[in-house]
Amino acid sequence: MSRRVQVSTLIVGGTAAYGLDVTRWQPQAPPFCLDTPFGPSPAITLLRPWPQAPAVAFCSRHGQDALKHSAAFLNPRALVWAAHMLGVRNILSWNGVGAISNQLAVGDLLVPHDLLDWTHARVASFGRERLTTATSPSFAPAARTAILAAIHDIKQVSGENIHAQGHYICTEGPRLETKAEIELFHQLGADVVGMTLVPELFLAQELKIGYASLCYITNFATGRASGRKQKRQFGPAVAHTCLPILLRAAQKLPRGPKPGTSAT
Amino acid sequence: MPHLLILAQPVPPRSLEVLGPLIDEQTVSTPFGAVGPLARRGPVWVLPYFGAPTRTDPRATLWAAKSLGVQRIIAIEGMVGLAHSLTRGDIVLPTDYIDWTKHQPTTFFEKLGAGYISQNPPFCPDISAAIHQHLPAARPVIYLGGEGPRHETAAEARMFLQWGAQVRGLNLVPETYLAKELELCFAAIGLIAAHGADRERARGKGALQQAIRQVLEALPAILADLPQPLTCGCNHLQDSARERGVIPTNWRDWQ
Repeated sequence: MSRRVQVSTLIVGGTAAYGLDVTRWQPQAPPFCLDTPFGPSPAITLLRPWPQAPAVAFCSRHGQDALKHSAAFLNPRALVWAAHMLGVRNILSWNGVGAISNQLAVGDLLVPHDLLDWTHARVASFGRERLTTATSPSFAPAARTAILAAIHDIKQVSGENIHAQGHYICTEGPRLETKAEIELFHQLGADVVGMTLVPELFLAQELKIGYASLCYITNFATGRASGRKQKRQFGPAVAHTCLPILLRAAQKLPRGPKPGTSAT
Repeated sequence: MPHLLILAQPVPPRSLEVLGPLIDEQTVSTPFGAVGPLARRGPVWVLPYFGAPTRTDPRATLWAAKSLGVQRIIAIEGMVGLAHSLTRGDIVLPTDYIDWTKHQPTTFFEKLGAGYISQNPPFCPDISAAIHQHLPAARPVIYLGGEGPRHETAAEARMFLQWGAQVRGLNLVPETYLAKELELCFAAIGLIAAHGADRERARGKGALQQAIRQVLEALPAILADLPQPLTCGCNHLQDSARERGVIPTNWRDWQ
C-alpha cells in the first residue's frame, strides 16, 4: 500500500462491521494488512468519507465478510500496533453492548467514560520492554467530545436516546452472562456489558494513541429487560448507524502525524 | 443408546449400584485428553471423582459425553456453604452461577466466531425440575464457580456472599456453559460438605453421609421423570449458528 496517504484516525468497527459494504465511503485502495511484531494486522481500508475530506483508516475487528473470531481470540496488539505504524492520533471504535442500566434501551447510543475489566485470559500490554509508562486507563476526552458532537450533528432528527457517559464492563466471553453475573455487575456500577474494549483501550494508551468508543445497545443483558420487549439488534443497522458518526467525529479531531512519532 | 451421564464427585462408586449393575467400562479419548474409565450402569454412564484437585480439562469430559451419545448430564458435587444458613448435609439445587474461574477454557470455538450462547436458563430446566420434584428439600442457590484447587479465604467468602452467591464449588463452571456449546443438558445437585472460610468449621460426618444416601435414593425417580422427548431446548442451542453456516454441521468439527 501507499503510505503517502496520511491518516490521523483509525475507526475500528465492531458489531456488523464484517458485513459492511464500504464502497459508498470511497475506499482509496484495496484493503491491506500491516506486518507488526505481533503478526499481521486486520485488513485496513482507507476511506474518504466525502470529497476533499481527509482519509480515515477503517478496519473490522472481528474479520471481513463474517464474524470470524470472537473477542477473546482476536489479535488486538497487531491491531493497535498497526494504528501506531500508520501514525494515527486517535482510535474511534464502535462496540455492540448489552444494557444493564434501566435507563437504556435497544438502539440507544452511549459514549462510555469509564470501564471495569472483568476479563482474565487476555494479553493486555505490549510488555515491559516497550512500555514507556504505566497508564491510568481512561477514554480520551477530545475523542469522546468529537463522537458526542458527531452524534449531535447526525442524530438530532432521529429518535434514539443518546447517553453522554456510562460505565462499560468487559467480560471474557464468548458466552453471554448469567442473570446473577449481571446483577453483580449492576451492583458494581456497570451500565453496559461487552467483550471487546479490553485490551484495546489499554494498548492504545501504552502507545499514546487517544481512544474512545461509541456503544450501540444491541440487546438487554440477561434479566434486564424488566418487562420490555426482548428486542435485539445485531444486524447491519448497527454499522450503518455507527460508521457515519465515527467518520464525522474523525473530521473534528486534529490532523497530521502523531507528535513524537515517525509515520514509518 | 445410553443417554445420561452422572458426574459423581462425593459419591462412593459402589453406592451407585442403585442405578443397576455394572455392565460396561470405557475410557474415551478426546482431542483434550482421555477421560475415564466411565462406568455404565443400566442406561447411565457414571464418571466418578471428576474435578479438583487434578482438574481434568472440562472440555474432555463433555466431548467424551457427546461421543458416547449422552444428552443429559447430572453433576453431583460437594460444595462449600457460603450462606450462614447452609450447613453440612444440606442439599442444594444451583439455579444460577457466577464464573470466577481464571485459567479454564472458555469455549470450544477458539477458531470460529461462535459461542455467543445465552445463559438463560443457566442450567437445564428439565433436569432441574425433576430434581426439585424428587428432592424437595434441595434449596435453590446461586453458585460461585471458583478456580481452585485452593479453598477461598474468609475475605473472599464474604465477598462472594455480597455478590449474591450462596455456595461455592469447583466442578460446574465452565462445565455448564461448555455443555451448552455441545447442546447437552447440564444440571447439578449440591451437597454441602463444608462451611465458607469465614465461618466455624462444619461438624458431623454423619449428616453428609445421610444426604448422599438421600440423593442416591432419589436418583432413580429423578431419571425416570426426565421428559422424553426433551422439552428444555438444550439440544437446539446451536440451531441458529448451524443454519447461518457459522459452525459446521458435524459437532466433531467444532473445536
